[in-house]
Amino acid sequence: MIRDTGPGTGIDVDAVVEASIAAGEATIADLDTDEIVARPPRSPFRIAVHRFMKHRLALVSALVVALLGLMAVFAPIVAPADPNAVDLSSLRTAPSAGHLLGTDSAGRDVLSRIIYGARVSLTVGIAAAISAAGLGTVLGLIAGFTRGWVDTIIMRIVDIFLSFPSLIVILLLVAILGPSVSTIVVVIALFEWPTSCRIVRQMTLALREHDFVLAARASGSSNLRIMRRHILSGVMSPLTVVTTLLSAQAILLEAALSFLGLGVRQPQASWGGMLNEAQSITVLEGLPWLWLPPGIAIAATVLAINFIGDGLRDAFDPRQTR
Amino acid sequence: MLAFLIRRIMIAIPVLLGILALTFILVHMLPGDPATVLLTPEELQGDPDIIERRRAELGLDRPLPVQYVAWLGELMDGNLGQSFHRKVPVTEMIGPRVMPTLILSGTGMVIALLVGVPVGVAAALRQNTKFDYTSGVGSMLAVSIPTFFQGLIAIYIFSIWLGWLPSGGMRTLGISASGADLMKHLILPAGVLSAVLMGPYVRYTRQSLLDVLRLDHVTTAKAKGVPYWGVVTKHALRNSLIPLTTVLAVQIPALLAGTVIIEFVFSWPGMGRLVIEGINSRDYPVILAVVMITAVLVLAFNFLADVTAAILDPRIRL
Amino acid sequence: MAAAPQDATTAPLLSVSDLHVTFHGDEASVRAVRGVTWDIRPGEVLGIVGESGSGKSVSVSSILGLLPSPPAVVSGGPVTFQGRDLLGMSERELRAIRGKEIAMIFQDPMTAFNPVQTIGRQIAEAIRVHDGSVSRAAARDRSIRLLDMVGVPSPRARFSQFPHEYSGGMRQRAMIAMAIANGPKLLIADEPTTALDVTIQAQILELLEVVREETHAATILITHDLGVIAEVADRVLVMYAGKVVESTTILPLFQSPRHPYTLGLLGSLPRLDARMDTLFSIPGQPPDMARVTRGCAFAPRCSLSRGRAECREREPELRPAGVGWSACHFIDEMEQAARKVSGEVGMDIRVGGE
Repeated sequence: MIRDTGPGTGIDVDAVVEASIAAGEATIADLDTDEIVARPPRSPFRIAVHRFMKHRLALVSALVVALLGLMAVFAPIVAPADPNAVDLSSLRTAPSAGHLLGTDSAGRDVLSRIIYGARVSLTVGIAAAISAAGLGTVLGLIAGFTRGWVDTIIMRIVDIFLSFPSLIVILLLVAILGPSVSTIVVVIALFEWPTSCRIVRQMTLALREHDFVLAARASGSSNLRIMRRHILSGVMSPLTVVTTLLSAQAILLEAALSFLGLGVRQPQASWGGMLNEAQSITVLEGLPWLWLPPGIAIAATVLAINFIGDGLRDAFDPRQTR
Repeated sequence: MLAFLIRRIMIAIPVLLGILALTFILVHMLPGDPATVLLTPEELQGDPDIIERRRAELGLDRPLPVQYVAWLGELMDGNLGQSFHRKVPVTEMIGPRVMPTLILSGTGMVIALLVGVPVGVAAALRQNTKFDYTSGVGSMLAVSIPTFFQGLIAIYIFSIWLGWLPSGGMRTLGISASGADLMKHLILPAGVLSAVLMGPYVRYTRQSLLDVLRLDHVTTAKAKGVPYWGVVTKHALRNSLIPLTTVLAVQIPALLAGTVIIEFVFSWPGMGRLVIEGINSRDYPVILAVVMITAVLVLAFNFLADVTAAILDPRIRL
Repeated sequence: MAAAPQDATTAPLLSVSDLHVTFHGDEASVRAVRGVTWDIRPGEVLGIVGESGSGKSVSVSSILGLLPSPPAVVSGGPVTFQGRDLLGMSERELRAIRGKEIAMIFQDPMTAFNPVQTIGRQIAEAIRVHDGSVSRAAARDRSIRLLDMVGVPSPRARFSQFPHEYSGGMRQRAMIAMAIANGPKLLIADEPTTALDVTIQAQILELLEVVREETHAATILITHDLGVIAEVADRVLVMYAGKVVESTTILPLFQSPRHPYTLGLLGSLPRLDARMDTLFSIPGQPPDMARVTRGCAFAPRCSLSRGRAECREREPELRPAGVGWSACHFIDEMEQAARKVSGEVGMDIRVGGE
């Protein structure tokens, strides 16, 4: 059932799961032929890497994200000025030699703020996605492997979380706990884990019926061991795809929070926060350098990450019907 | 069919209760005593007991579980409480905001469907052509560019630069309400809202149709002599639209989140804006009421979607 | 290309001549059908036997233009049906023939029917698509009668039921009903019994016989099961790797096969009535159709070939062999080979007899 889609993420759980199962089986089928002697079997990972390389859009996007990451890490070196340096003499000045993207309402250099803003977005995006994926995987594995009432309870909890208007509750929580980056990461992760949980659970349910799991059980492996060695590796491929797409969602959420004034607090530079200024018509109309760059930055980053996610998904899917 | 319905309802009830409980806990975690928020500086300096009296007035001194049960009771009576901030029944505050939100989100969804589904169908039928790739990239863009940014750009282009449409609000002051005026104000926000939904709709429709077209029964229909369009509409489309009802339901939370943002950007007088104001002023009952309404709506939509799917696909009813 | 044997007095109903079907994939092209020629006369039952991948289903689907056209390319021909070339026809002309003059019965009746429409509606659709003047009610009546004719109990009630409410055998009967709805001259049954229980298989085959007697339609029966062929076919084509390797009438096929592959197939049939010490099987695997090169495609697995150069270098053409045709360089040596296999499996296979 397509029920399992994360809200607004465009992640089709069933397709991702099916693709991974098919990919795994394709490799097993590979092993059946006589060629096993002539050529070492290609692991699903190698095949996937090979196919990813063929996806030009995804490669370019990966490059872009890598560059962004570098920019964020080396911000102090790359940025022309201190992002929080207030210069009351040049408020809202247009782009010039000294300030390539102009200055904002407090006289701060826009370009530097953009560069430093990458730190917030990327940190939140990656951290939230990984936490969500981590929590989701643990719960999904348990649910899928143990079945029974544990499974039912976990799935009901997932249902509850998915029914919540996540944005509103996130706003609420950030208001309660204070708008620090770590809080935002935790809160976003709190609403993203159900998606990965569902995917992992579905994969687990499918994989546990496979013969190699039954064989492992028959030879006395403990449940934990089976979960770790056999199922976890099978779950990896859809998980990477989902985590990528979740990080895109996390970045968008953080931006929305900051835009509404309820996220990362000034004076810390954040792309969403910079767009908050655009609420005034004066800014919107006359000072495009204040709000266009941060918006474009968010869009470009999220777009690139989505393309990478797509590329990963295609790489793991041998059917290529998309 | 009846058994199916009952089963579905049984699943929904615990989820509903869970939603309510969770929300109640959440809201009570908010810092900032609403009592102090409502007192003016002069009053604060006057009588030290006034804070306690206020809290008693607002019912804040009773233990939490008791408050919760009491609140549930009130709900049954149709009473959503009194707004801490404005001292009027919450229902009065939310009431006038419901229609605008429904109009906005409803229109947004309808536009997204009317545009998204046909585009998805066309993309599936013209797989791997330029149209397919363009629509794919388009959906990608719609989903990647943050909603509020899209809103700002829309305002910039259509309101400031071209001057065709108003930049916010639901009606123009001074003119008596009319359909045309409403339309003018509605187009931009609903349009931007629909963009968020369109991406997934296009994608899912396309994928679903592609999957169905590969099925055996489509070949059978062709072998019977059914013409191309007959095969597509009668044997492929209808089958592929069934899973789409579920997608619609699942996208509702995204729709609501988008609505909140759009209402903010376009100053639309709906529940979304209300919630944000409520958070800023620590107005528990208001926040609680809105969150609850939306969660229940989501639940209801999911239920509706499942029932619709069961009606359309006889296999599910078993 | 040599033509299959035909009775000079009866013109063939369908005549396939040098048909080629190639699938162009991203990485390689697969030549699924590499030049087959055969025909079928009115009222005849032609069996096509082969393993999966031999091209039997593909060749038949291509006749009706049912293969998805970007990957599949159909060439060669002509494929003449009632004097017209099917390969050259427009989609509209083909549509008039599909389901009306030539009808198909598919392998898996569960997936062949649209799961969200009633069976009755789908049968009625087959009728109304070819004759717009038939009213809903009339089509319904006809469909119910058809269901009754094929042995579906309580046809009136069953008309409004969905595919998942039928049993496997009943579904296949319904599919047959749908196929004969417009009185086709040619019925193509693609593995009609493969998805069914053995007991039901017999019933369906019987039904097909009855249908043939009543409608005088010719039938092409595609299967990998020699037992099925033995039951119903008049003539048989044996296909391997996209080509016809043997073509003959039914009895000679079993008693005096003229191609080593046929011999292998027969030999590998497990038998209840003879003592079998070992199960005989044809060594090796069918070839990768993306990489078929020159020479006889069966050569690597052929016990008759013994690695001779001719087999590796020249593709054998269909030549007369006994009462039928065979594509083998060493037809004359078949007798010896047959005796060897007979001995091993306790079957009475002779060559040079009838």
